[in-house]
Amino acid sequence: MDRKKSYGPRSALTSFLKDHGISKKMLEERLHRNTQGSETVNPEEQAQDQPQAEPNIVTRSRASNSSANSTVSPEEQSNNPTLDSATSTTKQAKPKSTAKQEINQSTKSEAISNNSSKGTKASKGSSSKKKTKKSGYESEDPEPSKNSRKKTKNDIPSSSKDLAVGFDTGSARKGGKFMICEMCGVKVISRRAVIIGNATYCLPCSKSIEKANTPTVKRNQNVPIDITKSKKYSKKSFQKKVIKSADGLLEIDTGIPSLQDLCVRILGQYIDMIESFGDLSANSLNKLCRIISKKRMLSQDNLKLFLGTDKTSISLYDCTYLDTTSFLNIAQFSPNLEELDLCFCGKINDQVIKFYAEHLKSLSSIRLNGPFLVSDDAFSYFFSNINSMLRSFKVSDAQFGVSAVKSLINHCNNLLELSVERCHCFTNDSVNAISSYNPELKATESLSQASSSSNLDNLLPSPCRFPILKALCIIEPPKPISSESLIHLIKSVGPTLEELRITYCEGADDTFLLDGIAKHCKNLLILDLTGCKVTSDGLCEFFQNSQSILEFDGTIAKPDTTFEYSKGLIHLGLGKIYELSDKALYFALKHSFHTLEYLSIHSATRNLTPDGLKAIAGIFSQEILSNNSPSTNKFSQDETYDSSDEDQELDSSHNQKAADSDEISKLNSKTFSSCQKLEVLDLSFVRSADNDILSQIVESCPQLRLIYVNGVPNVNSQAPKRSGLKILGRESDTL
Amino acid sequence: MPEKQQRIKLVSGDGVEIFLDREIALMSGTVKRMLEDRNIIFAEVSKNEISFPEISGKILLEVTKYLFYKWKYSDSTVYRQIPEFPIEPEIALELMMAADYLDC
Repeated sequence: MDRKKSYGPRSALTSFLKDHGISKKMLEERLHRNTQGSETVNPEEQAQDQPQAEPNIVTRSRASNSSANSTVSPEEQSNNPTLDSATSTTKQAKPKSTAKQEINQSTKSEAISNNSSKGTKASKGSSSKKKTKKSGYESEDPEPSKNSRKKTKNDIPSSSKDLAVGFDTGSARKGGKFMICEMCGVKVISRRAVIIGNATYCLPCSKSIEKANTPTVKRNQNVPIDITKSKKYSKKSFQKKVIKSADGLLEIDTGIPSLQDLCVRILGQYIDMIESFGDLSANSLNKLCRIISKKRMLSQDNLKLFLGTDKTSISLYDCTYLDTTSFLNIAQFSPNLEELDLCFCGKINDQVIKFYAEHLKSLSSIRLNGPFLVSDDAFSYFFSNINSMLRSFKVSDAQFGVSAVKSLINHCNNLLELSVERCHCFTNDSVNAISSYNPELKATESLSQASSSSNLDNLLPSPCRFPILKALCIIEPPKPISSESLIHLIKSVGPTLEELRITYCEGADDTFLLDGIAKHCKNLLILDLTGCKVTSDGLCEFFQNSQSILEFDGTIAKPDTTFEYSKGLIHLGLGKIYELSDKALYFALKHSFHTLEYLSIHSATRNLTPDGLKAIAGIFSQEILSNNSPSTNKFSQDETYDSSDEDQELDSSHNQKAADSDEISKLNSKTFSSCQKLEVLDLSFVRSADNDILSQIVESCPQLRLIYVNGVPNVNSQAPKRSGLKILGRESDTL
Repeated sequence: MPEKQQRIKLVSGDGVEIFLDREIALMSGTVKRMLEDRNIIFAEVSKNEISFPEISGKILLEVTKYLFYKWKYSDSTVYRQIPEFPIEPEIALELMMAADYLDC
């Protein structure tokens, strides 16, 4: 209404068109009808429009007044038979389009429209010229309007309308698009075509089909209110469907936000207040950080919550949305940090790393996950400026090339932990730099013995760059690292190592295992060789060898039998070694059954048999060895051969053999039992595992609390149960 | 049988007891797992009583309100517009911890 008052002078053309009852509104309505399916239409407004009862006129006119330029009453539009629906009277105040468009529109509609309706339109148009506001209901004579309503409704059944939702008739308005009637084969302008099912029909055909098929629809047409109801309903359900499918993409849950989400939002809103709210214990703060990170809502706003001068340890589990300033703030606000753990810190850059080196003076442990923007130079600067007491450096998914490694070697000799995970510049050269091994020197050394001795001398002054390194992890190096380099690496850092994880590394093969780890790593507690190229035979030899070396050491250096037993592994990862055999598993267990707490034989499918698996439960069958080792086989064959020679001694030899095997089994039972300390067992994709074996294992390993059985079809809901024991990944379990 | 299980008693750390319809209590993931796990039968199932020693009564009440809110509006066909759930900023922190534990 306000707009109407503010109208300025009009062009002659606009006034002319107005006189003829042609307005922008018609155009709008057409547009609206075309986009009706996708547009969210206020159903209440529709509900007001549809029922063609007289008392509703007032509300309708109000609606029409809300549109900017409405001089034509809604009935006039519906009088036009070319309008393909009866739904169309929703008003929208749209900006005025240009006069030209209006002309186009009007001429077309005139050309198409019925004569009868034209008459009424003209009369109304003239009457509506000046009484802009009231024209809506004054010019309305109920009779023709009702008729026209019915008529248009007869034209198109509501069901077909719904099918045409989203159908672009835009081109048809320009007069371009034709469709072909399926019944009579006549070309129809698509705007006049009627779509029933998937087929298009021309108007007469569709009418005949209607007559034949759908009496129910007809009944609905006679009662307009019903139609509006059904239409409203269908539209609503359509909208709901869209919402639901979109929800399904994001989360399975309903649209109601979880309480955690709501709380995090509130926290973010009142972050300043919460800071003054009071102290939070470090533990609960950590928990809070985890929750916020889990929701991926850690931002520069709520980061302040976790910073402070009193903080010595910060772990941020998801730094995805932190920017450079936020990273700088970490060092700025908490300069006394000793431990820093940043996950997904992809936005960290050279500037930040250098800033850390200058400001975090007491840093002893840092873990960076994904700082892929940080260059080698920045890392060099970091290592040369950080205090030399850096104990732990862990980096993953970064560049971390040779120059960075060299700087690390030169400046941080007190490292206890070094972990390099998926760093795409970490190559053979980097490994050689750590072990200060020069392959070219080696080549010359092989030529002349003298040079080799000098080479040794060269190595001796600095035999180990990290004299107290305890944990070394080289995880999934993208570039191949040669076996030779790895052996030299182990040679230099091996003696002090307690944890060694070399996974998915091509160079880690049998020679590395036997010449490297077996010879040099005497203090190993944790060994992870997941996805390495080691073979079963290599593993057999390794575990036998390392045992014999230990025994040798024990007898010579320390005549203490318990010494040997203290030397078992705590953590053994043999995952993704597909051809792991019974024998290798047996020797591995024999080596450290008394200490083992974690064992993974993930996807050992090819050679592992149920009997071999029973070794975990401490059940040892001779067949494992006899099948695999030719020596024992041969021995037993010889014996049987001897006994068959002389029938008389047959029984006695049998007895002897039985006694022998008894002895062996006794011997084994002495030295080998179940894994008493085993807590976690990964049997995923070990197809030979089943319920029986699992129950034996569970019975004999009292500490067991977690078993992974992903992809093991024979472990089902009948698997053994025990309080405190989780079995994860059963196929019978649903989420 | 359904009558027997109809109500669940939630007990907070400071002894506040809240009785809640089972259906509403099941809106919490943790409670759902406790009450409906077929493999392991919790003691809570037989008593129909769950105690949360780490959650205070005030917070538990607030959580209960949320559970009711979620239960009420989870049937979206009835309510077209879901009103916002009011949270006082003072308790947001504790509430979040509790919500994390209760998985709701």
